[in-house]
Amino acid sequence: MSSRVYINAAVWVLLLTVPLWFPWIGGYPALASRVLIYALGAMALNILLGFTGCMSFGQAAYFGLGGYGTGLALVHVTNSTVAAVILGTALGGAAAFIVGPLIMHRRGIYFAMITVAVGQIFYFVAERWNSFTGGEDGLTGFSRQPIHFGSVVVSLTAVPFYYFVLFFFAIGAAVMGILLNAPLGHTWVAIRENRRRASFLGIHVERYVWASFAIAGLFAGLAGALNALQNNFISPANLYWIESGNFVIMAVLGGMRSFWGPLIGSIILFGIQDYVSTYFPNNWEIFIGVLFIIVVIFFPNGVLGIIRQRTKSA
Amino acid sequence: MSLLRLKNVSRVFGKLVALQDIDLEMEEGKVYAMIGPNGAGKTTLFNLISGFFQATTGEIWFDDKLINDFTAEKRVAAGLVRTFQITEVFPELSVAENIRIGVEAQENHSAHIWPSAQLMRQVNGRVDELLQTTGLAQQADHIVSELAHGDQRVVEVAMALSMKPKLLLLDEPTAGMGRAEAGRMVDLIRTLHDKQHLSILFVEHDMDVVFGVADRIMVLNFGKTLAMGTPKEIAQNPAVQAAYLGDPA
Amino acid sequence: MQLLLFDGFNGLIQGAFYALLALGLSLIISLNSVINFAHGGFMVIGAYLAFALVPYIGFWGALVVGPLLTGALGILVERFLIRYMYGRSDPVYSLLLTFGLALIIENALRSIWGAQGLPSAIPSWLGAPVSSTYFFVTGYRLFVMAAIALATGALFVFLRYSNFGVRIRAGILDLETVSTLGVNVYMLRAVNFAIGILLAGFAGVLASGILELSPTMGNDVIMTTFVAIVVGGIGSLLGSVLGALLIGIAAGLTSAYFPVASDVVIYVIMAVVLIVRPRGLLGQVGLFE
Repeated sequence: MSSRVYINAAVWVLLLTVPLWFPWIGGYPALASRVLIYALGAMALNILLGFTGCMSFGQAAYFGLGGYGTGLALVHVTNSTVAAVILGTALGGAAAFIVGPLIMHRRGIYFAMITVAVGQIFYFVAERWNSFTGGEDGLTGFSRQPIHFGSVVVSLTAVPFYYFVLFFFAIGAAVMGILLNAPLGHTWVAIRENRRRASFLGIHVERYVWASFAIAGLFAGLAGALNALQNNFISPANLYWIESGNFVIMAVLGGMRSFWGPLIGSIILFGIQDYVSTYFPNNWEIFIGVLFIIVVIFFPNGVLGIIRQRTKSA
Repeated sequence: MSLLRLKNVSRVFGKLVALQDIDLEMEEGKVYAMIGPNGAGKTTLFNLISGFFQATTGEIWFDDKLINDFTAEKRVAAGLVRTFQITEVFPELSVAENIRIGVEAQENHSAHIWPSAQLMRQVNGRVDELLQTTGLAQQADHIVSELAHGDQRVVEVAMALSMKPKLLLLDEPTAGMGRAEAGRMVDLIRTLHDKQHLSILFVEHDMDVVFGVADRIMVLNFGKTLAMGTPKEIAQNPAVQAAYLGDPA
Repeated sequence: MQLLLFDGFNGLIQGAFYALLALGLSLIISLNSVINFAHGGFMVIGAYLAFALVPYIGFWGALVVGPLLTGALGILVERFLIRYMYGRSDPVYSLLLTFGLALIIENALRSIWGAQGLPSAIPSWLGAPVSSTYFFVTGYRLFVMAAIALATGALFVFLRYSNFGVRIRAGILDLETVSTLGVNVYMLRAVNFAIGILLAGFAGVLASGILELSPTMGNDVIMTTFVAIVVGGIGSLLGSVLGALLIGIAAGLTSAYFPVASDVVIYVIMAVVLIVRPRGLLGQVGLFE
């Protein structure tokens, strides 16, 4: 129990001091921001996949919606970066909340396919609604605005932006952590372990799946909002099912059954992308694929699963 | 006052008549056993009572409520709880966690986000109580999938108990168990009956278990009730002997 | 009217094409219990093999050798990768494994042949239109339809009447019982997987004559194939064929009337099917639910 506290503390210390140590190993703040953003998205997906046991291949829909919500907010409605993030997040969460009842009765591959279908429909809308969303070329014309703390104005360049992302990441992680440790989280895990048994204990499984889906969508939306701000750009590609696949890869690589697994997965994925691609610009994805297959076959609980095994038998 | 009453219940699967004209009146606080040869319809009747599927005709009354249209979840809420023939637990969780899910579900805060310390104490208290009653206290932190088969079945019974059942349905509680494990299960059933006055209905193949612990026995054959009575009456019933126990010496 | 026929015909070809893919995938899902995300990737392998082989052994040679090579690759994959998934009760692992495999296939193809689309390579006499009014009905497209119909028919005959086919059908219903009857389940699964992959490879070779080859073809194809199976009903081979034809024709017709929506209409159809009739047109209860 106390080891968990130490681990959490260590994680946060590392995250808070990134601009200090990351450059020493060849990193840079924008990369760290990207890692955190996708980690948040992957952690959101993992609530569905790792904790509730629902195969979702359509998280990108809410990731993308978060991005479009934020971008459109900055273009049309507001100058406040924070407000735009909130609006984008709310859009992602609301969409997931509305879609929930459609998907909550399905299981397994049917569940996965309907999440994909929803994602593809959003993709289609984003791609065709040229006038509003910028169509295939994506939405531009917005950028992250400086934040006003009273009389102090902070411009969101690389390092301040990293802390901006970290702030929202912390909120997301905290809320997800609280939920997963509460009875609600226990119930999700029970559903993952044995749906029938949960149902026969009087648990309305569908409602919990809906809740899980909505929460996952909300934080995917937050990640997407931050992603739009990172690039000052959002495109339909962020809604495509392949983007959903990225979150799945991260969650599985890092460890589906652990809270921090997706963060580790994001680090691994971007680490490999950044370092390997300098030597093998065309083939680095093969490394990911091979690593992924090895993990799925031999280490289904991911990197963190391996570490857990070692410490258990130690 | 009968706790469970079946009136003229049938279940048909297409052309197959699995159950026909079943009548049953079960009193509170008693242990009933359901026996019969393979294919007699015991599991079907069990599934019907617990809400796994619906009766084709007839009425099922529980606690003076007509429960034909009650979903499985509703039946559990009404106090009708079952275990399964193939043990249904939460494999990768510990024994205590398994029971806790049940307790939280019964206390209606499976959806709680920020439980108070008092609530947690209440839940943990009940979990400990159940661990004691079922003799699982030593294994509270063991992962269920790593337990012996017999122990897993006891965990399932503990989970069923966490629902504060008015009627506990046990589907072949000693299935797959050796002598010692089966004895332990029988002791548990007896304890639940004697100390907690729990009403229990179970399906069994092991005659020692049945005659050792049942107040009443119901015999099914070919989807119909063959006989119903005290163990003594059933043991002496010629029709039952012929159909099931073999002809008397 | 011409346009409608044009799009309808194209839709039919698309549907036939996906029927072949859906059949192979359905076999693999039903018997091996593997949700083969790499199915599209194998199709693309077949297509690239055709492109590579045609200069040496001609189109007809490639038509025979390509699918066989792909099927052989399928046997290797089954033996060394897929086998690990059989013990796991949760099909998500097979989906993840094959997802990784699809990633590898796409990038390997890109490494070997580059990211650009490659031109097709079919005999010119097949490429010629059959009639001048219906210019789009080329000999090749008719050939493709015929080839697919033939392959599908052959598969159904094989499944219905041959010993092995009976075992496959029995295995789809209850693999455990089949193994207790003394059937070599390892072999059954390996061959079934190979058949599914061979069909994908065959579809790929056929596709190489119509479409421009690119490594990302697999991605577009796999999702549509899943849609076809879900619409038709998982667990039903006939359903996969019907589902594929349905969405192919629907996409084709949508192209005629409402071109912008032709990509998304299949997802809309699938979403509607999943909400209204969750197990698809001909699907069975309880499979993968």
